[in-house]
Amino acid sequence: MWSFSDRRLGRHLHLYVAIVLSLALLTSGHRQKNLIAQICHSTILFPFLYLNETIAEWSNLSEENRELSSLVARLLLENSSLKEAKLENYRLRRLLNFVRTTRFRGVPAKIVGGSPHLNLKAVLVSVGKRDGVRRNMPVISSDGVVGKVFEVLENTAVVVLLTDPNCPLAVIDQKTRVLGIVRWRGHQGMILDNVPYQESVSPGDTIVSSGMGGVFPVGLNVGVTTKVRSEKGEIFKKIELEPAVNFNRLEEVYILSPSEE
Amino acid sequence: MSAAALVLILIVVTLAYQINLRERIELFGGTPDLNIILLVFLSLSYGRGVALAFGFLAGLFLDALVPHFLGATALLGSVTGYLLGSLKAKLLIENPWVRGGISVAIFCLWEVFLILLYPSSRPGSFGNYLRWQLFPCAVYTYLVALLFFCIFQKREEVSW
Repeated sequence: MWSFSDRRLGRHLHLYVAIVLSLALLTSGHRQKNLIAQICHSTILFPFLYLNETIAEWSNLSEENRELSSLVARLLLENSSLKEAKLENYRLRRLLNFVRTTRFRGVPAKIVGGSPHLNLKAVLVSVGKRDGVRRNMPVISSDGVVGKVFEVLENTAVVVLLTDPNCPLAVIDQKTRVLGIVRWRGHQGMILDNVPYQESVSPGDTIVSSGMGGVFPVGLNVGVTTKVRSEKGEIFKKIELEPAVNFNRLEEVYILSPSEE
Repeated sequence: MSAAALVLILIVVTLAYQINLRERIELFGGTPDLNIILLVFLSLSYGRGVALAFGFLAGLFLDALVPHFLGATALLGSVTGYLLGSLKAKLLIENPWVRGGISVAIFCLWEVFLILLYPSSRPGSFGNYLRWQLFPCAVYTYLVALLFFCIFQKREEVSW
């Protein structure tokens, strides 16, 4: 049988249960509170907390993107400079290996400027008298003969290139051993001169220094023959060469000075 | 829609707001208390049973975010929801301004209760707390409550 107070209790039962539960939670120890909170965190609250984390990550994304872009730019710059260093290292190693096999001492030099003389195909290099550079010393790159020292100053030197018409070079066909003289002739480019018409020189032959001029050592790469013509009535063949060195891309050279040993 | 589904949806809304949105809409150091607004809405529109369930469960989950307060908001929510829901038939409050005022009054009472229960949780002077935290939150809660009740009162009228 329900009394008045029973009915009243039944009517507010939900409230009493809620109050008792709340008070039980309020008065429970830290461990119990943490346990209940942990259960809520890993079940009901998890999607909201995860969403919150994702939103926070997304809101940081643009800033992070900006920072990464700047980092990429910095790294690209660093990477390109490292690539340059690697190529430079490769070229210098090749030069060094060549220099080691000859009786010359190589003085490394950087190209620091173009020709100081209008009528001279030359470049200015970063070494001079102070470094032991003397006039007429041969100058090479990792690809082959570049030219010779034309003028020496205290800290710099002028190197006349093979592309100057007044810088002939005594050479030899590596295969047929035919001697000749390489010179630059205006629009024709590099030519192999003084090769008698009866001598056998074919396109594709490698031409190297003969060492006969007294300036360049024997065997330095000069170029490759591209066209060979023999015309009636001519004493010498007309031979065109592709230079071994790209004179427009010179960066480092070696000046060969006679070894003291 | 059944009352249980409504309570469930509003709990999800409350949790999503409290966890994901509340900090992001802070204005002058204050944020509106959506839990109280929804509790007042349920109490005055659906009665004490629904309000009690919502008040207790939403309060419990919100308390779980900071285990130290576990049970406090659940207790306040269930008691407030039940009492306000019991007065629904007698009060017949439909004016959004008054409903907003009730929300702010409950918000302030809860804050006072929580300060009394956990005095160490509000460092600094009471004056500063009143000025820089309670006041902006109360104003913000009132404005949001007003907007909320205006929208939902119109919908109730339309559906009626």
